[in-house]
Amino acid sequence: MSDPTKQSQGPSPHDEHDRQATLDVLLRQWHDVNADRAAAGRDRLLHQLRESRRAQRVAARSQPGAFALLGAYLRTIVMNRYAPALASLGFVVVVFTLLVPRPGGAAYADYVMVPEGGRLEALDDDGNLMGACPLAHTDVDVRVSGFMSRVTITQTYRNPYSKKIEALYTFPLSHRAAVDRMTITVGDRVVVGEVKQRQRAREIYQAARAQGYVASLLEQERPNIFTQSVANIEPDAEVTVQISYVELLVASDGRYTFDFPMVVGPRYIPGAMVTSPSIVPAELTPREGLLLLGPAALTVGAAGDTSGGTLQGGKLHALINAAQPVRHPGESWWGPGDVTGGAAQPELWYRFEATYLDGSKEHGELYTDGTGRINGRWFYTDPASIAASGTGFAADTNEVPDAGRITPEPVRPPTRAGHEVSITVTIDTGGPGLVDVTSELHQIIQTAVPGTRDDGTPSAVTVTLAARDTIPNRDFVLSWRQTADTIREATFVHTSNTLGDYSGGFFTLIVQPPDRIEAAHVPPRELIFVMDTSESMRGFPIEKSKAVMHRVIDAMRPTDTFNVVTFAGHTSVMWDAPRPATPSNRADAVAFVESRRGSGGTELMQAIEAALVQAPADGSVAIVPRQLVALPADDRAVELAVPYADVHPTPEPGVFRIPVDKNLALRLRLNRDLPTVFSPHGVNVGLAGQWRTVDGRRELVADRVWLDRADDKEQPVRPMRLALFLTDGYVGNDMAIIDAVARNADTTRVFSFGIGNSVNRYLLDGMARAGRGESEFVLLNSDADEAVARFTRRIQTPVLTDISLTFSDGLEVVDLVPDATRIPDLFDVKPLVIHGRYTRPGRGTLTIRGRTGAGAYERVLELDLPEIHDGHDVIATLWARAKVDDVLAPHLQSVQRGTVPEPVKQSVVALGEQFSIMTPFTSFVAVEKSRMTIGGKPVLVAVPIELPDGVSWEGVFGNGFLREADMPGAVREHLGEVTAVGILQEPHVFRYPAPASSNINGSAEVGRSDLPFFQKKQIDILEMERRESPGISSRTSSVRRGAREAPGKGRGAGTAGGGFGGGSGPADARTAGRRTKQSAGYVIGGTFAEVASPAPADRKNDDATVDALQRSLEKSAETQAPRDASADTDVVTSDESSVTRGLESKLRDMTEPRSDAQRKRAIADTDQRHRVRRVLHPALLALASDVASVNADPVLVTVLVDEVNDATRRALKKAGLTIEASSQSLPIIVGTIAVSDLHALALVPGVRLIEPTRMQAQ
Amino acid sequence: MDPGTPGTSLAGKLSNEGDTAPPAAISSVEPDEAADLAAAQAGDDDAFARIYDRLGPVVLSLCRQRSLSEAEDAAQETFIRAHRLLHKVENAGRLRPWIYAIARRVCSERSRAARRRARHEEGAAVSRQQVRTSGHGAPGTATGDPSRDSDHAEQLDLLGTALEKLDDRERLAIHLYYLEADPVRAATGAMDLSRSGYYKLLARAREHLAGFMTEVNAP
Repeated sequence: MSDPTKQSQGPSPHDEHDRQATLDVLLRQWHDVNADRAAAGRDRLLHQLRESRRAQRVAARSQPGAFALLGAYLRTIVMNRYAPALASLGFVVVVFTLLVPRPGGAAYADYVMVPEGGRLEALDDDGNLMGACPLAHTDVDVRVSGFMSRVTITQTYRNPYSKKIEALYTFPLSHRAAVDRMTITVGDRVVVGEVKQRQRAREIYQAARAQGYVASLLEQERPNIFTQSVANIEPDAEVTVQISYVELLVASDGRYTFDFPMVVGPRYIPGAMVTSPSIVPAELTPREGLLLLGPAALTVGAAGDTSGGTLQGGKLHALINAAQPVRHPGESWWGPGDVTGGAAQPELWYRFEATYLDGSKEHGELYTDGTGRINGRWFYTDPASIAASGTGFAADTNEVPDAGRITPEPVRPPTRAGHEVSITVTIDTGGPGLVDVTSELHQIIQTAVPGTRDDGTPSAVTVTLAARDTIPNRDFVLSWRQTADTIREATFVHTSNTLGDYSGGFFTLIVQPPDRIEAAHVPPRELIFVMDTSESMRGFPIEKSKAVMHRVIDAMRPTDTFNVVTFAGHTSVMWDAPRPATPSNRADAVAFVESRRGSGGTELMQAIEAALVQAPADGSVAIVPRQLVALPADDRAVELAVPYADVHPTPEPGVFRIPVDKNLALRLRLNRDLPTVFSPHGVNVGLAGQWRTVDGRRELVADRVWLDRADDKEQPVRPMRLALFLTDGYVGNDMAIIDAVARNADTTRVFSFGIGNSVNRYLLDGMARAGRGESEFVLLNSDADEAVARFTRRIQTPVLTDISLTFSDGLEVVDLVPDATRIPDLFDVKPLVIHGRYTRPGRGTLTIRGRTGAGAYERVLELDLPEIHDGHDVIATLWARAKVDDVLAPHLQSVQRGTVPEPVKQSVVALGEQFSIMTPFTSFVAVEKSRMTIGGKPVLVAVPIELPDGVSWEGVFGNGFLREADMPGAVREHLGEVTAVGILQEPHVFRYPAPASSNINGSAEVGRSDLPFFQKKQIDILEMERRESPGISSRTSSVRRGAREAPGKGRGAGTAGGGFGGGSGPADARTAGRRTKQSAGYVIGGTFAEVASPAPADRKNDDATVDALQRSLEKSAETQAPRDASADTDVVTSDESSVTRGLESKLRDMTEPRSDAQRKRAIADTDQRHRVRRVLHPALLALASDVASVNADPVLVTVLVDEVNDATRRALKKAGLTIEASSQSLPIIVGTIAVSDLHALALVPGVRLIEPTRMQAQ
Repeated sequence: MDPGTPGTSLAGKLSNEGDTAPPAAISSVEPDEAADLAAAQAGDDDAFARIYDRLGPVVLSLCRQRSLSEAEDAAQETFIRAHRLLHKVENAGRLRPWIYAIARRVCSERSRAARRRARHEEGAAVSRQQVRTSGHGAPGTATGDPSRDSDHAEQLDLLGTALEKLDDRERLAIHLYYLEADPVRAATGAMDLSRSGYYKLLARAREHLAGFMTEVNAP
């Protein structure tokens, strides 16, 4: 914006005339050149068109389909425009030094790659070179020996830029991995990383970075997500980071599996932004009025000093959402400036741009001190909240405080992130032959290691990827069988005297379980199917999920009961209570499942509540002994009902025995005698107490006993309850979810089905473990039938349950993981793995007891724990890794929130440091101290990652993941090819249409499904609003009533508003008043009422309106200095009375200093306004190709209004809506409107919700 | 800023002289736009080339920021995108605003990318300085006096910088004025403006432009 003061001191009229004449000459010349150049470009264009057409034909022939055409087009563009330049591409790499990946649209980066010459360089969508990815290559070397695998990952970072960089790469590793080594290689020097307490490691790293040393830091964000930072990579230099871990293989039903995750899927981050709202420091004076003039797309622009952190698109929204309007900060905040006087100048952090729906733009700046301004309107956002935790696309929330660290930025397919991976796996069985080595998602090459066995099968093979450079966008899953079908049992031991408190022996037992024995009688089951229908499942994954569901529904037995729950942004439960698996119920369920489409967030927590926290059908809370023994004895409170005759005294005083079946009895401890009953028949004993493990034995310690008359009828057999979750697990609060499952699973067993090619295995395994079930992974190209068959087999008869371990007296075994009384049930024929320590050598036996389908099972193993055994040092590492999980298991919720109790944290740190392994609280750090680099601070470059194979970009980034609630009264900008536009509304005044009958599927969402025009998701938000802020709701409603009852006030308030509007005349004041009235009911601030209502009624006055707009913007620009306060007074709030109130308070502000209490109140008010203001639907989608025309083309919208009457129709027509239909029963009008007029439509009084339909793809 | 300041004298004059012919006219022929559109949609490249002839200069001007060659690229890209989506244009009257909108999007994308690059080169200020000093001497403007030439080129660069600061509508108004045979007709089609509306906009644009020029010329 120009500085108005300069122009008002303009030169004399004569000079001015000369100046204009000169300008005219310049303009002519400038344009003449353009005309000449345009004429010269004619032939080039024609040539390109012909080329493009030819390329399209070629592409269409080779790869039919819309995507192929699009790809061909992109390639054509790039190739044609850059074909001559390709030769000089290498040169360009050096010249263009782009160091931060796309700040403007970091979350929505759309790069186009040059598909030439092997190595791919990142280009932006204009074909401009963005620079190469600093991670050049990842090499994975896997050595499998028996059950153990040692994986060594070599990441090669290369700096293609002309400045020093810091590379940051967020990548996945197996969640079972015990990461115990990290080295960095700089030139010919190798530095071995050390494990330090996380904060300490970070400090070391930061200090090294600041001093110019090459340094590397490896941090664990989740058990399966790690962040590698490498500082001070000099231009053209190469730094190699080697990470190594050990893990035990998974072997189930005779098949061994090794999986290596390659990419972190885009996680949905639940919770509220932690940045909201900022508390204004005392040195700043809050002001009223809003920051943005209305719904706007925010774009991050040029960066200033980013040493304090970088900013991505999504975070900018969060920040502006959290910002509080303040007056010009001035000297009291910035301190005195230099000799020229005035305040010191703040350091620029980022520029940004707000684009309103009418196309008008405002420019803003954010400063490093937390202040910022947009078009002269100052605001403050908390610097602490600005310093977000990471470089990811998601902002941190209260539920996922490290969201920024676990959401690395994917590039948009078919774009490549620009780094490849190569994998070599060497499998050595040490005896048995290897057969059936397969990798479902990658083509592999097998080479048998010389020395074949007699039967012709090799005992060792080397497997490599067929393509040496493979795109890391899907898990590498390798599985094989051995010719000897039984799993080899083994005891591995290791002793060490150098581990401080942990010195002594370690052992890992791998025990072959019994074969599966089908039980003759299987109790009836209640199955709860929980299906993820969120955005990330859109497309292929959800179809796969449906296929699995169909088969599982088919596989049920008639005696089973079941229910279906689907979840995305909200949860839908099909029936109020489970229903029998009759053919018609199954058909209904299939139809219900089939009707689901991928949209909305991934609110898994709600689904868990719906599926697990459900009252039993008969209303009782008491369980039977059979159910009790299936529960972990972890001090939980339980209520048990047992027939009196079943409670038998034992010789031990106060201890009773309750037989569960012929092999198993329950131990009951009572602090009193059982009441005497003469006729025990038909009498039940009620017992309430705790289900505990005491001295390695499980017992019920009852503190309440009562007698109850049992029903005459035989107690119906309680069904076994099973919950089956089908999801990709792309959520950020994984630990909280696992914790919720553990707390709520109770008698329900949780099975998880991971659907996709790079699912969150940690979450899915964790949920199953916490719910005492089993996880299953269904790859997108694998057979659903097989997975379902395995599941059916598992739930039919588990292989071994109620497992307990007893060591004979000669053995002093401690710290067993898992704990001897909490050994998970085995659902598959897979080995039982037990890690432990022993304090003194000895020989003895281990007795494993449990139950199979045929009854009791017992096995005795000889165990020899030697005094000294140096080999197998990884045994200690594996024990420590398992122990960390064990220590943290009860605290997952607090790990998630970052509030782990200090003693727990310290014990994990001790384990991490002592055993040199990664934990959530210990990190690897390595510093190359022999040489210091020069050139100041390195620039941070986040390594872009691939979008997981099969995941829909539009699904994730189109309109779902960045939630409406996070957007500052504004909606999406262009997300690559997708444009979303939203309308600002006040949700709290929304009224539901009267509920009608339930839908055909018998869904529990009565009333919602009757609103086909409105996405249920949005209504959910409305509901949420109502629930969360009833106070706000009632208050604002009453304000609205006030507005209707006092229509006459509008003009007066408007006049007053104009009066404060920085000295504009009465005419302006009247305009403001009129507009104010128009926008009644909407919280729209500042001079926006003038701007945003193009007053469709007065089309003739367009120019006047534009002039008014221009003037108002100019006025805004003038508000930078002391006059700022008065310009801000143009507050147009929800109605006249609040305008008056706002003005009064403004007047107060101007005349008297504010007390702290007043300031706080003002902040609270602003906060409330921020909270009630929500954008409800970024639902208008269009292809980028349509974007250019989107503002001119009409779109079909459905408008929910207060009531459908002539006045409303007139008002809507005035706003530019061509009405096509309206509903008799619902207050809905359907019509077409130009996108640019949507804004005006939103401002029509009585409009409650606008739902634009999706633009048709070309 | 008050519209009534002296800075508006010439602009005001222009508004009053709205009926006089504009100084520059690029397309001398006025072929049937609708026919060309239909032919181009049917695959006639020559018809599309005629559309390019008519709209190309304005598009190139809209895209011209610092470098002329970048503007040429942007204009080319604009027309390639337009060509691909040409079938979507049903009304020949909408063609002009549609292509301008594409151009704006293309060049805003490109300038964003350029800014990103610039930021990581020597810093925006330095690169700007380089651009100024190296200049982009327009053909046909040489005076034979090296110092004047360099001065002139610098002025043209400053003009480019100032034009960048104008908002989209104002900028378009200027380009139409200098490049279109009938700027009012073009403005009616492209910006949905009345005759007086267009001249008001033009006056304001010139006023702003002059202001920006003064601003960048100021030490």
